[in-house]
Amino acid sequence: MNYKMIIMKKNEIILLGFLFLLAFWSLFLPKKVWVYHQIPAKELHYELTKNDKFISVEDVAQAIIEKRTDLILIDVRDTSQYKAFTLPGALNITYDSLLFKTDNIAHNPDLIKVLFSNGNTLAQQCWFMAKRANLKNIYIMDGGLNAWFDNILNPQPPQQPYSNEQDRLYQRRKGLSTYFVGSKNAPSTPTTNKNAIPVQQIKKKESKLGGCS
Amino acid sequence: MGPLFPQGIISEPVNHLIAVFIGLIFGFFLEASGFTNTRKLAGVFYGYDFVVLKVFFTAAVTSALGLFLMNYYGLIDIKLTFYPATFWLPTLVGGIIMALGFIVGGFCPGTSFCAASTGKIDGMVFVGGVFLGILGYSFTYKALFEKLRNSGNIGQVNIADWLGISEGLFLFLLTTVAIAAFIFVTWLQNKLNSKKDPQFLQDLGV
Amino acid sequence: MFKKNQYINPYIGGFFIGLMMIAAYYFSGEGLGSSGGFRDVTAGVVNGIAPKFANNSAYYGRLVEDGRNPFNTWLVFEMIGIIFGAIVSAALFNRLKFEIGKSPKISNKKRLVAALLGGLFWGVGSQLGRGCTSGLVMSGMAVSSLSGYIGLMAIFGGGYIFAYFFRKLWI
Repeated sequence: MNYKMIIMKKNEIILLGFLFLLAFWSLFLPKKVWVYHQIPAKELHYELTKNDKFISVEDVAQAIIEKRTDLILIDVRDTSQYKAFTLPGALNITYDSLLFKTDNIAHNPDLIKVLFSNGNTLAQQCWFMAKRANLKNIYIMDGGLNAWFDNILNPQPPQQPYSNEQDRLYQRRKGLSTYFVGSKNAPSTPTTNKNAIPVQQIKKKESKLGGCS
Repeated sequence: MGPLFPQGIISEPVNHLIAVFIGLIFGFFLEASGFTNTRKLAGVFYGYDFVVLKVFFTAAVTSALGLFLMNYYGLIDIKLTFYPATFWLPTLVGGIIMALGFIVGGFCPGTSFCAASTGKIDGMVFVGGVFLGILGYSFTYKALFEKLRNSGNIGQVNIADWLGISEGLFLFLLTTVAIAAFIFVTWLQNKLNSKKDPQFLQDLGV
Repeated sequence: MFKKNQYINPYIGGFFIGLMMIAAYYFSGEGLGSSGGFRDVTAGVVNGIAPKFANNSAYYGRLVEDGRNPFNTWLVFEMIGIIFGAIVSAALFNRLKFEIGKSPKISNKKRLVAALLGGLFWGVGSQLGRGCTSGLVMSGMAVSSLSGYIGLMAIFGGGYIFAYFFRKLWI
C-alpha cells in the first residue's frame, strides 16, 4: 500500500519547534548558584541603615517577666559560654548554625527573634547574616549581656545632676532587677512602656499540605 | 513575582476562584484530547493510539520549560511553591499499583472524573472505585500502609541535581527525547494501524 | 457542530494543559492534581459523619487538624472546574451522552467490573504514591522533581508490563 505518511503537520512543527527553542535557550543559560533566598543589595542596605533593629535590655527583661510567647531570645555565642551563663529562657543557636534550615526556630517568620552576645559585635554579625538570607523579624539586644549585667542585674543610680528621664529609667531598671535578682527595693514610680516591642499576633497559617501528597 | 497565594498577594477565596477557572480549561482540554475514551487512553500500551504520550509529554515539557525560565528570570520563586519530597519506595510501589489500575480500569482519577462528568458510566463506576479504594486505605492505613508510605524519604531532590547535570541541560535533553519520541510513535502508530479494521480506527478518531 | 469523534490536536491539547500547570503554580503555589481532590472529598465526608473518628485517625488526622475543612481546598475547587470544562468540550464535540466506553469484544458487565477494580487500585496506589498521573507525575515533572520521574517510570513501565496480560480487555 503506497501512501504518504504524514508524521507531523505544519502547525505541529511550529509548536514543537517553539518548545525546542525554549529548551535550547535554557541549555545555554549560565547556572545560578542558589544562595538561599538572597535579598537584593538595595534592600539589604536599607535594612542596615534603618534604626529599629535594636531592642533595649529593659524591654527584653520586660518580655521575660511577661512570659511572652511570641518572642524568643537567641544566644549566638559558643555553647560553653551559653552553659556558663545566659538569659532565662534563651535558646542557643550558634553563629554557624543560624542559617541551617531544618527544624530551626530562627526561620519561623512569625516569632520575634532577639539575638544577643556578650556585646554587640557577634550579635550584629549574626543579624547581618540572617538579614542577608531574608529571615524576618530579627532584632539585636543592644549592649548584649554586658549591658544586661550593668543595667538589669546591677543597675546604677544616675549621677548628679540627672533628668527626670534618667531617674525614670533607673527606677524601671530597679523594678525589673527585682525579678531577676530578688532585691528588697521596690520601684518608686510605675514602669512605663515607652519603647515596648510591638506585640504581633501570630497568624494562623494553613498547614502546608499542598498537591496530592 | 509568583507564586501569588503563598505570599499573600491574593486571598484564599480569589485563589479558589482561580482554581475553578484553571480546572475548567484543564477539564476542557482533557476531554477535547479524547481522554474520556478509555480505548484511546489504553492505546499507548498497545500501539494503536499514542495520544496519551503526546499530550502528557507536551504538557510536561511546556510546564517544565515555562516554570524553569520563569524562575530563572524572577517571575516566580519555585522555592516558595509546594516542592514535593521524594519518597522513592512508596512512590515506586504505588506507581506499580496505579499501573495495574490503568491497564484494568482504563482511566486515571482525573480522566475518570472527566468521563463521569460527561456521562460515561464506566467513568462513574471508576470514580466510585477510587473513593472506595481511598476509604479502604484509610481504615487499614495504620496497620498496613503507614510504614511503607513514610519510608524512602530522600528529601526534595531535583532530577538534574540527582543526575549531576544542569537543569537547562536536563530540560534540553527531555525536550529532544520527547520530540524524537513523538516522531517515532507517530510512524509506529501509522504502521501498525495500516493493517487494522477502518471502523476500529474511526471509533478512535485516529 | 463538529462531526462525531473529532479530537483536537494532541500537541495543542498538551500545550494548553501545560499552560494550566504553570498557571496553577503561579497563582496557588501548587500544581494540578486529581487524587488529592478525591482524598479531600473523602476526608470531608468522613469528617462530616464522624468528626471525632476523623480527628483521631492516623490517616485523616492531619487533613482535619486545627479545624481545617477538607472541602475548602484548592484541589476541590479545581475539580469543580474540571466538571464543567469537560461538559463544555463534550457538548461541543457531540460526546455528551450516557454510554459505556469499552472494546466491543467484552461485555458491559465485564467492563464495569474492570472499571471498579481499576478505581480501587488507583485509590490505594495514589495515596501510597502521593498523587496520580497529574498530581505526582505531571506536577513533579513540571518542577523537575525526582519523585515525578520515579512515578513516571513506575506507572508507564508497570503499564507496559501488565498490558500483555490484560490485552483481551482492549484489543
